[in-house]
Amino acid sequence: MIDASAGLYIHVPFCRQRCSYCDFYFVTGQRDHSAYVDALCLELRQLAELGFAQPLQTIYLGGGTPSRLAIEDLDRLLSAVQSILGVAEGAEVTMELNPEDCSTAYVRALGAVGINRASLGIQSFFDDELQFMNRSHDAVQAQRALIQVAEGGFNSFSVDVIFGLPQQPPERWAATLDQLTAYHPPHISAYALTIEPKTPLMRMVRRNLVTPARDDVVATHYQMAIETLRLRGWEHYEISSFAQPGHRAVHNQRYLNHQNTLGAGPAAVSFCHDPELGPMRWSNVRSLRRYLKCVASGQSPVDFRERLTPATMGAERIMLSLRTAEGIPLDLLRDRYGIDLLTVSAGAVRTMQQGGLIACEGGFLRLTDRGKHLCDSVTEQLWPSM
Amino acid sequence: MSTKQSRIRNFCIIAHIDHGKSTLADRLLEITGTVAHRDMQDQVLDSMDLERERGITIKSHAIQMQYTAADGHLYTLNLIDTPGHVDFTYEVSRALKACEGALLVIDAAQGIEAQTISNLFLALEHDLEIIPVLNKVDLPSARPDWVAMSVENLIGEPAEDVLAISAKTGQGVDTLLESVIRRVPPPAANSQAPLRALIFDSVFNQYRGAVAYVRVFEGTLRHRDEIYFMAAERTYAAEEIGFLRLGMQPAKELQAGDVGYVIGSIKDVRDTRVGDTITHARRRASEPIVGFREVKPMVFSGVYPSSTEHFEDLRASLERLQLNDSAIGYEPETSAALGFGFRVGFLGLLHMEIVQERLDREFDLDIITTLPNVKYEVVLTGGAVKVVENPNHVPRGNMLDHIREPYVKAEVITPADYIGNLMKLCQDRRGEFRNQTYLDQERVSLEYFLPLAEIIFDFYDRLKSLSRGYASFDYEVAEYRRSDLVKLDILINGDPVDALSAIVHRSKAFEMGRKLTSRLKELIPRQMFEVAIQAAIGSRVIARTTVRAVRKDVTAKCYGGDITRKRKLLEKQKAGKKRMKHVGSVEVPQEAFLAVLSMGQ
Repeated sequence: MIDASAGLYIHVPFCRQRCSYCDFYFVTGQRDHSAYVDALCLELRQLAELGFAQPLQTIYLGGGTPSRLAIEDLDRLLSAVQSILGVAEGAEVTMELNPEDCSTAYVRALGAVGINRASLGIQSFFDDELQFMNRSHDAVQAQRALIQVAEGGFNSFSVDVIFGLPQQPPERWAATLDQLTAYHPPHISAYALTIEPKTPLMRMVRRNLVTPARDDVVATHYQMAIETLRLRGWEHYEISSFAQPGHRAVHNQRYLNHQNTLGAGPAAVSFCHDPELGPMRWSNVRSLRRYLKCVASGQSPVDFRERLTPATMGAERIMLSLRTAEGIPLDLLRDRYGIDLLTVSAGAVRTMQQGGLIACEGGFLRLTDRGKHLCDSVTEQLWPSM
Repeated sequence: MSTKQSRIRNFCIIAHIDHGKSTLADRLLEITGTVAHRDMQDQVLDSMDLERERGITIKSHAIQMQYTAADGHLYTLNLIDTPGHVDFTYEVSRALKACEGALLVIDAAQGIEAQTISNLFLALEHDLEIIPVLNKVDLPSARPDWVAMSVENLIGEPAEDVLAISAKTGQGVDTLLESVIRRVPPPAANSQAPLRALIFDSVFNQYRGAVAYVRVFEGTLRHRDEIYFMAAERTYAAEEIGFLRLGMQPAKELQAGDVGYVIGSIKDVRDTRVGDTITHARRRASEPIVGFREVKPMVFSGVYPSSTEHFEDLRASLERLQLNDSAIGYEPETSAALGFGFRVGFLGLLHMEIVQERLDREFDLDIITTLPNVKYEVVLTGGAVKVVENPNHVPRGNMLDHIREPYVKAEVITPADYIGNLMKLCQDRRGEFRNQTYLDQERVSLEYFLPLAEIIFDFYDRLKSLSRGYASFDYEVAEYRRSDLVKLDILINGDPVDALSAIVHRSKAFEMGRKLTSRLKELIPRQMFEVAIQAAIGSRVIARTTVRAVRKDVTAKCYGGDITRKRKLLEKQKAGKKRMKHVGSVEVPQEAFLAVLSMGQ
């Protein structure tokens, strides 16, 4: 087997309110989460049947809003993970936090239940921007939460920020970067605002209530982030991720490397190398009610399953590795998936190399800073014809 | 002349599009009992779906009817339907040749149109007995008296003698049939002379091969006779001959004066060319029937499969189309932008549209056609003349002395109100004014010499819109003239796109270049790099636009669950681009090649 280890993603689909841009699966208005934790524990037992020899290398609680869970629920959940799947010594255990949930007591208590990395969803330091995104916190809460998390005793923490909002002036984004770097977060995720289908934001765009920022403006903001953060000591190691040395997000990199990653909870996705079928990806039902029903009756909550062919794996590997600072491992692509990229896509490689979008060195093909702005186009060009 | 021959009437119907030719034919078939009313499908003669839909006759058809006239005798009527478009003037002339009389059908509301007149003149050239008929007299907008007056002015038929009918309701059609019997002369015929039969149309039957529709002028054609095609210089056996009723009705012989069909295991319709004369192989006629002409394509366009793997399908389809339509000519050619395709010659723009539609419908082929052009004569510096059907074959630089282009003699008929508009249109199209005649108090005929290249585009549409639909137009090719023509190239990021090259008049090159580049700018999507679009004459750039580069195209989050979704999104995008053509590293959508066809406005 290529990979005998596994990571675990746990989806916590509860939110106070709906952020205007969000297209993840969540529900609002739920207060008692103990029944959900019970269900997760049942699903963990199903996952245990896959039979991984090794304990979990990483755990990631994402959402939704995991910080909606009470400490007791978290404790019960992580204890179950430990006893059912096992957790490796020194494993990265991340939890996403929303600023409004970050009381001193809560943040401090997280360490005791086993969370050693926090990921704080700040998004902006400006009230008007936060309101536009329909975040459930304000700028003051954001600042306060950052301090709590920075002093919370975690091994590492990450902060999420969003740029490229409609009519966001570059100075605003510069100020956001300034405030953010002042707290020296070991890890920063900086995302361009994306208008996803079926979100309130998309509806506003459709009704002409919102004009999306022009792509050259967003590109400028992105370039500002790349340059500013690099100058201030963060390494730009993935399209939207910046880390101080030694603080890359381990869990996230599992996805990019096609390593086994289990998912629990509604809409959660799992990827595993099956000893007989090869690489498989599946996802759970996108409904809390149906998820609870399935798990309670001992059935599998999976409603989509995909067996990945070598060609698909190769295409994904190109797409995913291109997002990383190292780039596409050309030998691996050839040896494992039979794709000799420099031959099959020679024309595209040459054009994009001459255009300064990609560079080829040491057996890797990677994006230049210019190329990072066009990552998806480059991927598409590099993909061998289907 | 035998009694049989004295009771034959061969006639056709001349009408402008929409003036009711097909409806009248249907009514005749019904009244003569050739088709039972319940079997009547609208416009029986228009057998192609395309003809029925467009209301245009593309092929000639013929049908035999039996009619007991008022004098108590049974007559054989052969109705030969003629194509209704200027692209098919030659076919019309052959169909007219096969007749002794013609019904000149005129819409009682619309009046005489240019096409009616041009066909009328053709009919007069063939000495046909003309029976003018006003159709649609039941319409509230009909003005039969006024239209009858202009008919009198035109051919001298007393206005009060002009028949008034409604093909739709059948009103007056009986009287019309009696007129045909009375006025159309029976065929002058000598059944003993050596055989001379005129092919006025031919169709291809999948099982029987080419079927020639013929009018026998002299002699007698018998079943199993050995026959000789005088222009094609081919000998075949007349395996089956017969009359054209609703279907083919085999017969033992076709005598002088008869209209019918001949089948002879003829694999290629190019051997049954319209206008050719069939005679007996052993007892040959000394002269063929005059007027045979090789049909020459006038308009040329590159036709390419939209995906390269369909090249062989396209070739097979063109071959099959040619079986039915010998007017199509094609030769393989290659384009750097579009790959392997064909340069196809058409009789005119309508013919080109018809071929395109048939490729699409009957053969289910997705094709790209390039800007149509006429056939140019390129005069080289040494004085040699080179005929060019593809703009890219114009020699470069100092080899070239000058270019000659075909001119047509055009006639525009319009209500007097629109003379100004239409004269301006003709002038804009480099027309040379020749003559202006009043047909009556309201209608004027304008005569112009126009470059053919200027009318193959949207001339007809412009003419119609500038005259609120009232003006009509007809032309015939007149001569080649020297013109100040240049080759206009389109360059994308410095690479000339051969499929977009055109030969244009120097005075129009700038405007054309500007329009083409700005239209292409709209059609070429933004790409990873800036795309420069230039229009150039030789090395001189006369217009330029730029498609800005995409500045950002990157998925922000690529979180666990998104991988399959994201991959599929990208796969879909890539599949969408597969249909694009590559010019250098620029992806150009197929629409860009097609859209230039709708330029000119």
